[in-house]
Amino acid sequence: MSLRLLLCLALALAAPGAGRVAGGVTPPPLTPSLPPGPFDRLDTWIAAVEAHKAGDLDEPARQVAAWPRPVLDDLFRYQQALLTLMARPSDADRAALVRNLGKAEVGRLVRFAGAHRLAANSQRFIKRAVLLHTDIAILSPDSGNSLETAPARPSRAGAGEAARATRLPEAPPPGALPRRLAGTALDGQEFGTEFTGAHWDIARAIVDRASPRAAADADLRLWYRATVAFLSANYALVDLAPQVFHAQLSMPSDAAVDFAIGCLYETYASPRLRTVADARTGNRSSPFGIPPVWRSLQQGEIWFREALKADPTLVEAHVRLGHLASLRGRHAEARTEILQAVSSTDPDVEYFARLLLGAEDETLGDFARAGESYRRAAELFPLAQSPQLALSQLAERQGRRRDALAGAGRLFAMGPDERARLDPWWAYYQGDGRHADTLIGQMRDALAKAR
Amino acid sequence: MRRFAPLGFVLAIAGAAAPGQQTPTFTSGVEVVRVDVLVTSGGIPVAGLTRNDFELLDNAVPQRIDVLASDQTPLNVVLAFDTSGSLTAERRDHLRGAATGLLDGLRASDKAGLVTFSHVVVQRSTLTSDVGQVRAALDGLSGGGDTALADGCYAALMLGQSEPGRALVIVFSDGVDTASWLPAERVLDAASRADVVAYAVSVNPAATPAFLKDLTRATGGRLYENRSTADLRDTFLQVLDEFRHRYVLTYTPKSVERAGWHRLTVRVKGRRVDIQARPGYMGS
Repeated sequence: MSLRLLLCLALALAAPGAGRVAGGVTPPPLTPSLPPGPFDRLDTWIAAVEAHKAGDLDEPARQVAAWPRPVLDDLFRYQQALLTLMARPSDADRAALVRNLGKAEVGRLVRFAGAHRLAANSQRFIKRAVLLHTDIAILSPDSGNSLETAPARPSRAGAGEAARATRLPEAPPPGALPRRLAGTALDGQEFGTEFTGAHWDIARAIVDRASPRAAADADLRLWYRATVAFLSANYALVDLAPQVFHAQLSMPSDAAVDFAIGCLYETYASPRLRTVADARTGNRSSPFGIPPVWRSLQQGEIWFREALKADPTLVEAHVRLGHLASLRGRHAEARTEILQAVSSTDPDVEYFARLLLGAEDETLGDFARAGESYRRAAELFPLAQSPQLALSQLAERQGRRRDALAGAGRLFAMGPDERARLDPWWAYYQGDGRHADTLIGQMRDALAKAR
Repeated sequence: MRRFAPLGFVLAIAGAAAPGQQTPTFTSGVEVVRVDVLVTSGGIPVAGLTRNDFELLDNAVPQRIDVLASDQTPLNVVLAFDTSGSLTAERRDHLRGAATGLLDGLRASDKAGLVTFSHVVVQRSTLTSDVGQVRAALDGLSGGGDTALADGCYAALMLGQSEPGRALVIVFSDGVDTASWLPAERVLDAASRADVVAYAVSVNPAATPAFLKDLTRATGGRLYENRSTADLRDTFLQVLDEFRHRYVLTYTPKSVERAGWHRLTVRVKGRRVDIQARPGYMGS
């Protein structure tokens, strides 16, 4: 599984008149095959929003997915202005729009919105728009990331692992999407860089225009939870981080969001991340913006505690709190935390708890209890390798060679079929990602049916 | 009689294997420590040494040793290959070729086995003298997934000790650990008790995992850091040749506490040579 990590972030310059990219280069003109003007693009975009079928990279979605970053930057400015007008803006908002686009252009936008009758059910339109960009981000993850001006052919998910030439992010024009340069790492080794996140950024910005806001709208809360799960499952940390932190700002005291942030920090401290991040520490001052291990562990604990404050029944947070306490050397406390989750009704959570409890008991020298915990984990998932390795290793360190070999023998007998050998430990660092498919399905249904 | 930690010891060897003999006979009753030693001069193995040339100290206490005829002792060779996502088709082909070359170099009395690891640890072939079975298992290799390096190495250590004999584990990895359940230090502890010599070949342009350095050091093996997999076949053959030129020292510990860590010191009297052996073993 590849990782996508933040290499560099360039934000839109806020100062008026700072619309030139670094080095004073003016972006070349757009190719004629694209909708020629901003209102043509808005027209095409609105049609795509209405026609797109959830979960499908259909023709409307493919059309928008083909637009390169400079076109999306332009669309984004008008999109945001349009959504502002749809929300019955204050005088101050109108004044800001006029400053940014000019009086004539704002007037055209007002007439445009009226002609499309967008204000009539803006929340429904916003949800459909969010769905369109989310589906593009999921189904065609490279879309919108090219800085070239020609339309790109949308690529299917999973096809984006080839190394790309590196271009440093230029300062985007005002009001444009941020430029995030992501490093892709596979198997602990960094092997490519690419721009990322255009459609995630657009979707998030559209969610911000919703009324009622995400905190008060079940569909949009589900959107945050599902997309965070999806990005976690794919270790797309470069896009996950802005998603969870933005979610936290939008929905303070949401247990699922606090939990997701805790999981992100826990992942930052994991071997999977450190092998890449630490390899860069020697020659880069800020490797992917990932905090050092100690801070990741500390922050993870803080956010899991916040999650439990918001929802004391979220027992998986106890498991992860225990895991982090253990990594910080507080084994007795870790044991106490983990114990609170061993009776979870979620088999994955109970499995994590049994395994980690065994590890704590082993560290604390109670080998009998450790063995019992590992055996319970093995009973939950008989074809999972981790409990068998744990039992074998435990026997080995106790000098029970026959049992150690027997444990290894049970592992060897499992065969090579990975699908039959489900070990939830493999997905531990994905947090909520193990529910991603279900949540994404629910989210698509909810947004598509929004009234 | 209290037993030493079983994995750090072999049970009493009734008789050293004579040339052409099968696996030595093992009987219980007396614990014997086995120390696999490589003696080189200028990088070339030194041959012809006898027990009188060696000096072995267990926790600084000199021990009376025997030297087995290592070049004639059947081997248990466990190949432990990283088949995670970074194993490209070219690397896989090189790896398969290297392993095939090594299998061709085994004798009829030797056994080989194959363990692969991505995030999934799989025994592709048990220890067998039918190298055709191992070759067939090599044909099915493909890359994908994360890397459970510590888990895979632990499994290989276990497979190497599943049958009597001199165990050699050859680890190949082009990545770093991203998915193991077992902590590296626990596997290294197990390695320090294991009667196995681990060699490792790392083809990682970024950094060789510290774990592989520690594993080979703990077992008295050697780490090769190759730039690519193109010369993997030569490396594997070199490992096999070197392993056959090692000396197997055995002794029954005298005048030392059985429990705890036993620091081993091996010297060759009157010679300026380089010696590679495991630094100690864990008694219990």
